Amino acid sequence: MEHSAIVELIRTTVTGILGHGRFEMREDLTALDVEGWDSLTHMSIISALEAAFNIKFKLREINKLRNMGSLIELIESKLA
Amino acid sequence: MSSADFAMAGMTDIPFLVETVLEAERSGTERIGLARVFGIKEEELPALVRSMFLEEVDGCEFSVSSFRVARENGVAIAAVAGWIEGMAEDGIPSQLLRSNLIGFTFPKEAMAVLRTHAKALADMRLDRDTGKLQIEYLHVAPEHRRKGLAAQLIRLHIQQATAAKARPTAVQLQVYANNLPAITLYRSLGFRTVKRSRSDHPGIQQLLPFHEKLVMEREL
Repeated sequence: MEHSAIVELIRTTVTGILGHGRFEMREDLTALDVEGWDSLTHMSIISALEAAFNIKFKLREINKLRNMGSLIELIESKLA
Repeated sequence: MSSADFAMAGMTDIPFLVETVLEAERSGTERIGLARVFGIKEEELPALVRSMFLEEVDGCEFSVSSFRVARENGVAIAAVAGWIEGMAEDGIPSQLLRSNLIGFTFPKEAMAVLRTHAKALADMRLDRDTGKLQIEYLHVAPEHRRKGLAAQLIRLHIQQATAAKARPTAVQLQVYANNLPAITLYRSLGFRTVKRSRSDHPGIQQLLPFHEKLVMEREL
């Protein structure tokens, strides 16, 4: 899967859970920057990303996610 | 006063920490928010909470390393969690660490149940301030109450945090607005209400112990 396709699928998945697309897919974007990305929606976003990419995150992996860049990198590494 | 010993919690304290989480979540009512919000049966919850503690993630309320306990004859009789917000796991907010633990441990269907309650819960959200000491999940075994154990455990968390390099400027906690015994204790320790959240959604009374929460804080 190409980088741009991964980024786009993350964007549509997050948008689907939050119910809005008012965020930019910047590498330094954090959950705190995005309206509605709180502790509750976070669980749904992680679970929806696993389903969308057909992958399974390890707890240690998601606890190390600092921003959108590290999320993209993690998903790319799992699809490689 | 009690003859209890005070210490940081260890893995052998997990059964009491599980009891602590359940009783604190219940907040003196019949509703355990952590079970209802995710559609989990109450009898299934202890094993799930135990699993979260066993993951040994630091920096949130499901971290064994966050808890201090009081023990009598080697048996835990009181516990409370405390951590400096944003100081563990690369500065990730504790609420995301907690969410990751729940998402990893609870059955997948629980996330779908959570989504159905999103609107009811949205207004109850209260953020924790980075760099401030957080106090959470306080429980004293019923036969050991009124001995000053809770106050002493909180004081010890404060003492340790104020000796840390990144000294917190304040200590804060969240409490349901109807939990008067807890609020009275926190006031006696110098905490004052600084924020509140409230949900008037009709479904909230079936999910959480109360529809209003307070953030209480004390400067350090």
